[in-house]
Amino acid sequence: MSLDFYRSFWETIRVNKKVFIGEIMNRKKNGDTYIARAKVSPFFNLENKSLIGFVGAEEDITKEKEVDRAKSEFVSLASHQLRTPLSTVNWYTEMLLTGDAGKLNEEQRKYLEEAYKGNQRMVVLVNALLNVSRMELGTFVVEPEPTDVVLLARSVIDEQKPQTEAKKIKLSEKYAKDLPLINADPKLLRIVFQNLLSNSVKYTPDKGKIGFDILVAKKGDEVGGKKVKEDSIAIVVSDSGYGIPAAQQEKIFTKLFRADNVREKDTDGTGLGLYIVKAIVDHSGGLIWFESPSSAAFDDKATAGKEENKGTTFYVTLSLSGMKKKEGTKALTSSYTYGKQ
Amino acid sequence: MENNKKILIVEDEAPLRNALRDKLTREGFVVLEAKNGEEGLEVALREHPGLILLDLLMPGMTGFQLLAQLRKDTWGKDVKVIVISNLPKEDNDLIVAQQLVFDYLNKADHTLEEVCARVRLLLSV
Repeated sequence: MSLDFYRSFWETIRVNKKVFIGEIMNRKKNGDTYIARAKVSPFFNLENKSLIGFVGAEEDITKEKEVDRAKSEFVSLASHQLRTPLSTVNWYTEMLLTGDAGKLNEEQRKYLEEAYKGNQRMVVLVNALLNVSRMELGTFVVEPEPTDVVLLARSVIDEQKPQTEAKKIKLSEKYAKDLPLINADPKLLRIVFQNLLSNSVKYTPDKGKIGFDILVAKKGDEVGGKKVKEDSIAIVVSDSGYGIPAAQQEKIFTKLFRADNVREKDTDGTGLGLYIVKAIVDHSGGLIWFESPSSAAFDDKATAGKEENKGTTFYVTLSLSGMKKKEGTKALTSSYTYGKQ
Repeated sequence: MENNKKILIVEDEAPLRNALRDKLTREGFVVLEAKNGEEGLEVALREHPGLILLDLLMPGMTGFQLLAQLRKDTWGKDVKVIVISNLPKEDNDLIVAQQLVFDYLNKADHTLEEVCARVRLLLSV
């Protein structure tokens, strides 16, 4: 097992005094290896709180892991195969809509636009599923390089301008002047920015407000109610949108979960975006959390006094020392918006 | 004929190949078609098109193999190639860099109009 594993093991039971749950590669008496899920509970001297010993129990989860892997491999393969017929539908519908095969009447155009939109949603969903399967197979790469996060943010904001403008949303950007280049994987960071921003746009009513800020947070500074543990950059995406219902906040990063309030308003979501974002941030040694209602307190008279529509603020911190390199075979795709240049 | 009006499409999926052919023909290009790598290489070396739209995963000779062969030819080493594939671009950055691929477009993520725009840009027409 890796050094990190032992470090986290001892920290959990000795320092945090909690039950450790982890996966261990173990060996049977006949020499075969198997994967075990181990639960190790420490027990302490009541008087001086010192560690006396611990009790461990483990269960063989080799089969469970194999099934899970087969599932991820299937999803990966299936989502890849789906892209060819999706491209076909996209291209032919596009030609009909642009009048390549003759002029359409209003009703034909309307129906075709629905078909086109539906197909684009499928492309987005398939891309997200492909990413999820790659994450779960552990095959995706992290390739950090000195990255200008402001440039990246601007490009993502630019990319989503059509959606922002269509909803007449007022978007304000604020970037710290002394932002250094961060050693991060720009493709992964792009996925994080894209998802946070597109969520804000999607879940903020017309004429709402969105803020996209990047600041430097020194060790000990407070960002979004948390003390920063090491020198970092903080990405803060806030909106005056629908917010996340209190009762469902703890599930928000769960795969395929969508909060009730947005499920009603907008059926066009995959429930995979924040799950992917969280996985990327975790893999990068960063932190992500949110506040809803947002403390950024957009002064919005229209929503005053209502429980909903108080907005959400997402915070992401990344250490100034940057992401850790991770060898892998596959990259994640950042094609979340169809037809981007 | 000016060969910057002549485009070769190498794509095994007939519906996608036909869509590209129809669109580019309407845009005023002369379109040559090949349904696999072997055929694509042969047509390319014979017809010397101004640009090749190349799929990667095809039965028989793949787009990767076609590129490797093409770049050994005195004419083929410089011909403009746009890869059109549904393999994520990020997986194939190396191929793009080593084989002088001018562009890499994901079919599921790009409109036909975008593909045409890249073609026009590359051929400056």
